[in-house]
Amino acid sequence: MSNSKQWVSFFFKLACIVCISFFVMFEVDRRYRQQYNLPYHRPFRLTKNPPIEMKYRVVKTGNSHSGEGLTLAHYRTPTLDLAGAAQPFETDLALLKQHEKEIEDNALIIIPVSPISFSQTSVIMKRGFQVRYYDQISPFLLPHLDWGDYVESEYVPFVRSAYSWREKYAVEIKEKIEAQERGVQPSLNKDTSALLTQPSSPAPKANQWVAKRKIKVLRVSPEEYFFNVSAIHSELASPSATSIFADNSGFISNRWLHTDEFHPRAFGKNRRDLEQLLQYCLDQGWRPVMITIPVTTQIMHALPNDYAEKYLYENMRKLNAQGVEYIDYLQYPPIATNSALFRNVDHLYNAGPPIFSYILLQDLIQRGYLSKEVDGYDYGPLYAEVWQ
Amino acid sequence: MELTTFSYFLFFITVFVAYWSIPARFRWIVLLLASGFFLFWLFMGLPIIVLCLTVIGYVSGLLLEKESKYRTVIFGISLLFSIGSLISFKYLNFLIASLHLSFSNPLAEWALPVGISFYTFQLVGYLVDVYRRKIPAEHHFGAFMVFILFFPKFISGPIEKAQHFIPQLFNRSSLQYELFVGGLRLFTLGLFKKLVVADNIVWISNRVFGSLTEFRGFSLVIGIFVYAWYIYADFSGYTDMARGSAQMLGIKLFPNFNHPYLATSIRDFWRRWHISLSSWLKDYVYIPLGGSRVGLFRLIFNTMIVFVVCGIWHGAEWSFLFWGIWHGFWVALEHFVAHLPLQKIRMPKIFGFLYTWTIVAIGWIFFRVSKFEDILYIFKNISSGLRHIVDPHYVFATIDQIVKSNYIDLAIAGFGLGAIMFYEYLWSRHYVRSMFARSPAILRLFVYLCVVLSILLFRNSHTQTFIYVQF
Repeated sequence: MSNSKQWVSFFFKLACIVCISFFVMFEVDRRYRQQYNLPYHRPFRLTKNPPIEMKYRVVKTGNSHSGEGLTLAHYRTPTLDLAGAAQPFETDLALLKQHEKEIEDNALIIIPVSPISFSQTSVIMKRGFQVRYYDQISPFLLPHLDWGDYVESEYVPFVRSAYSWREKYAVEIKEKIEAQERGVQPSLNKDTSALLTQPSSPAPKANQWVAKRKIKVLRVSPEEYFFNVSAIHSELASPSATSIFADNSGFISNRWLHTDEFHPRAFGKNRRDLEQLLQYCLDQGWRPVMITIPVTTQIMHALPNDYAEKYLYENMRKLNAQGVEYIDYLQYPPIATNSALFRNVDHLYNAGPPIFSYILLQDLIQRGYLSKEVDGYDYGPLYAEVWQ
Repeated sequence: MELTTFSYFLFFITVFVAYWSIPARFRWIVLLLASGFFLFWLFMGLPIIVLCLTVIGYVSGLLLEKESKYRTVIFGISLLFSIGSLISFKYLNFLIASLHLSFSNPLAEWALPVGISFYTFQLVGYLVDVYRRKIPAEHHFGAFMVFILFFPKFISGPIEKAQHFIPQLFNRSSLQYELFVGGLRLFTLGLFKKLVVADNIVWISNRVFGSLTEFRGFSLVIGIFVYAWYIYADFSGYTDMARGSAQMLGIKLFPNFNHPYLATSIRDFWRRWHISLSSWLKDYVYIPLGGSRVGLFRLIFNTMIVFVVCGIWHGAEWSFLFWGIWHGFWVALEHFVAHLPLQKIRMPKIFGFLYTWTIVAIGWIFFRVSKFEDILYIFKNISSGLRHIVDPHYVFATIDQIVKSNYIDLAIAGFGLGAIMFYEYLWSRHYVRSMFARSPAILRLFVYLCVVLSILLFRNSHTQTFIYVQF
């Protein structure tokens, strides 16, 4: 066969393969979208968000420690939740830039600094994690954007429908098994349901301002309940020390110490990113404050003795904080020792987030960051007492 | 930018079009620019280190070519720079921790430059060859840079030799059909190995090794078996993609694998596994030490040295060193047995195959698990309950414990495993290959369509970084 005939034959075969493959993938995509009722959408958010009428006055950033552990639901002021799982400082900065026009001058920016914030490498962000920001941050603001992945996800989404479908199926199976396990085995966690009370007085209208990002990792829905301050104080007065996270301690400590997701070599980069984040907040006239959200004493015991010192405090000392205050709750005793407030060794859960958020709110009021009017917690009697 | 991503696909099409549409004498410039772009994309701080090493290698090569009484000194200094950079970035932390030294590593906060072990070895090989006057020094700086930085092989090899690679840059031929189609086929095969096989089976071994204490007996066997196939599918997939990309640009790279899991001895295994590394070790470590033309005990010593270097090359961990020693021990033992004045007994191939599989699979435990207590746990518990293996209930219960009722993922993993084992066995037979080449076009088209559809339908969202990138 002559050379040109060979090429013609090759392109014909290639065209056949491409056409049939696309046809199959379109059909898979159609069925997938039909099953989960997922309409196509145009790629959007190419620019920053436009200004809004009622601008946000409190904004929180950070990773899943703050995403799950800090709820602004009872802060009676317009708040914006920008936290996300495994979210590094540079993405916090990109999110703040995206929402810049929606945030009021002089707004309070809560920047959580967790024990892993400085050691987190960029590996985790490269493993398909960026996709969750495609519809939230302009591609021109998203750091280290993988343009190929962006184009594939936003412009030819049908080529990834098969694995999205599989992923959804895997999540369904996992949830089903977890539900079964929960049904069979009683939870070792202390029952905290008594602490979650029905509103004893008309619900404070704190929630109407709480802005939620589209995709959230938050598993808790504390806004379904209104947390009673008397219950908070009684829980803080009698923390229950248990050791129910033994396996999880080993897993997490190994992950933080021995995987490529976390490494001291990332200290320098993450410090620089945090400095840029603080600088940006100050340049916008906002009031940043850094906090560390509690983790259980069990995880700290599972880690080397100098872990917190080396991975967190040494970095905080080296950080050019530009006068920004740092409030540390890492091992805040009434919370860190009370495993009933945690989902696992490092994530607050159930009654944990409202309790911690209450404590933080009181501190922020005391330090002059927020006024007393922001406190939207329920100060009425316990629901149980009212019932009796 | 990994070779499996859509970004690489777009990048490669751009390079391909640019490369074949300009006059042949300027094509190396396209490769250089593309490789530079690829490097910057990988990591901003990296190009400085690579560029420094490339310049040092180039200048040293030119100086080594000339007659001078300082040749040995220049050679020593150039080796010091290239191996020194490898040690500084890769091994210094490990040395400080292992020797309990009191000084802190100034490079601790720098990321390990990607592919440093590969291009350092390539550079060292070039310098040794020029020093030995085996090859002339490369005078074309651009071509030398492309030799070091060529993007398909930059991250994980194959480790090329200058005399094989550089002349191909000045090949003036136009795009050849056979070469292009062969490259595309190789690339697609690599993509299949990585996305359909490696990424779909890795979760099984991760599940077992990730929470070891949950498992014992047959579960551990499954974990090790799957990991053995995972590492092969991952690394050979990368090599196929790198070779395929290069071939589409008219450049042939060394093959790295030749059906290694069909080997019948550990020596045979190393002739088939990571061939470019084993050839490098043979040429630049084993032969200078005396090779096999020495006495038995010296031969055993040389073998152990080669495998210790091989183990350490993979990473700054004790487990990699053990892995090297483990393989070295068995190769040395095979040398020893071959030297015994015994009458040669022809063993059935299946015994050799099973022996090799057992040794290699045990070796992968050191490769996968870095903690000594975990290695010990595996050896203590691997035989526990294995006597029940004939009981289907035990087998199903073990599998269910691993897969946690996600039978779709299990089926796809099974498909991936089956596909690679079937391919390895059949494709090693010459008559199968020639039969396929002679088969009707429609049948071949159907096979290619199935491969492409498998990639699109079965690829996994959790694409793992190529395992050899870390080395």
